[in-house]
Amino acid sequence: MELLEIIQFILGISIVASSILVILNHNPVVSALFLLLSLFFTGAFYFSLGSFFIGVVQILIYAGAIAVLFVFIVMLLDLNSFKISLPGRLLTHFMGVFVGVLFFVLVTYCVLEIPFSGFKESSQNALELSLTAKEISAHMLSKYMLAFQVASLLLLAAMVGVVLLGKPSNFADLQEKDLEHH
Amino acid sequence: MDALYVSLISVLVSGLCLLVTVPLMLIIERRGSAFMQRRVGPNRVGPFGLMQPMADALKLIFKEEMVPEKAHKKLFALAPLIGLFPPFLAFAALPISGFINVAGVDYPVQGISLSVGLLFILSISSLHVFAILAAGWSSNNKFSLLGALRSSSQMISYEIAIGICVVSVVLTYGSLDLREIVLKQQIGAGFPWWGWISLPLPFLILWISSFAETNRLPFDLPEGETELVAGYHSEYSGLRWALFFMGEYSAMLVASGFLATLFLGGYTIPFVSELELREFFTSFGLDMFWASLIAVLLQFIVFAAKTMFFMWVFVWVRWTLPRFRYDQLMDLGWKVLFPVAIFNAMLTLVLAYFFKG
Repeated sequence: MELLEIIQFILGISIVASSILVILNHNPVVSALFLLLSLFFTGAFYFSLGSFFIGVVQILIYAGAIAVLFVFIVMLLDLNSFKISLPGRLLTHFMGVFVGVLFFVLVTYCVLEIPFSGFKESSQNALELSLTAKEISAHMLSKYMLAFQVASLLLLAAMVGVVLLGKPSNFADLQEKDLEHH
Repeated sequence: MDALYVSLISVLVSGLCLLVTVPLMLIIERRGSAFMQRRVGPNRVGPFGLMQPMADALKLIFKEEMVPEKAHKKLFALAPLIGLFPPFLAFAALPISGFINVAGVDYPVQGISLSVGLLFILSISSLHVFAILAAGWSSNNKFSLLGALRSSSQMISYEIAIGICVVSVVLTYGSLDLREIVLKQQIGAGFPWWGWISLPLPFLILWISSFAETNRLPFDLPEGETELVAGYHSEYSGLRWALFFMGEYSAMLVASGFLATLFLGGYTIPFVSELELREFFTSFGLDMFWASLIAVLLQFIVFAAKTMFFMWVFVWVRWTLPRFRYDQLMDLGWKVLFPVAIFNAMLTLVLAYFFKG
């Protein structure tokens, strides 16, 4: 095995292990930190595949921004009384197992669909993965223009929604807060 | 094979830079503060007190390490190490010098040469906040937790301004590669059109934000001693506390190096190009390897000088300005720097559209 392959193998195991630890931990903060680790290793995995831009963006957005917000919010919750535990009802357990198995089957099907034979010889797929920032933006603004625009619209809607949810329910509230502030 | 050796040596050099800078900054900080307050400062250990960092380190190594009884022990031990890892990784991506010629081939003197070095440094530095969060939470101390929460919200707020400023830098130079950005700032031996001339607003905003990112005064609210004892590292002592200190200074070095690379022309020497330097040294009868080595060393010294300028300003500001109040800090970040950064990005966009074709 080549050195790169060994590194990829270790990274893959680390991703899976840290993802499992996210759900096995009872402490929400430690759980969130393992989520960060998992996201970080995923970014490193992209690096090992040679697509630096995707790897950097993965770390910048997921590990650097989203995971921080996760940890931040989990820390703001009541630390002593807060423990993640499944409700003990049979239906919930059943649904959990069902959804888990369904997801696993779907992912396995998708993975098996990828033609792995000839992957190593030509390493064509690996090359296709290693797009530069320029190529990615060119693709986004030509071939995937519609998907790009729809995604931006979705993000805008989400942002407006957050502002609406975060707004005080009436104007008097706002004024009161302003008075306290000064 | 040469490429491997050159990159290994470059990684070692950039690691050593960080390790050497931390004690150096310690003495500059202590002597500098003394100078500003008309005191003498530490001057007993070694000539001019230069060995003072050694003495400090020895003292910290032999100090007892306290671990709070109800702390999360593993995370408590791990947090200082998490803080040390992002600066080392980020600094390796900075172009610390020009090219070295080994057996007729030019190799860049840079730990990791990446086509997306700019984003790499931003993304890796954003992981520094986790050390503070982990330390603050695992200490099981209200002051520590408050410091950690302050720090994380402060870093996230200022990262947005930094990100938008970087957009205008990328628009101007048309590249995410730090080496390319450096080389585009100084074309040949002409006038050095460094980043701070062509991009004054992003320079100022990034400079201000770097203080917030490294938790230095006037933005050192995460450890504001008048309110929070010592913030996120209240419970730390001995070597672990020293590791936090090291992490902070390394982050300062990365921020300074980043500013020097983007806005002060990085390793380039004004009015002299690397090619001219090499020609000058080969005219003495040196072969290409030695000529390029001397040129690389000279350029490294220039890079170090530019970086040290920003480091000195960090110290200067710390002992000059008082600490901001927390709402003032947030106001500055969200109501001043953020809109100005967006305005500047728009302006750069328009200018880039008309002047670059």
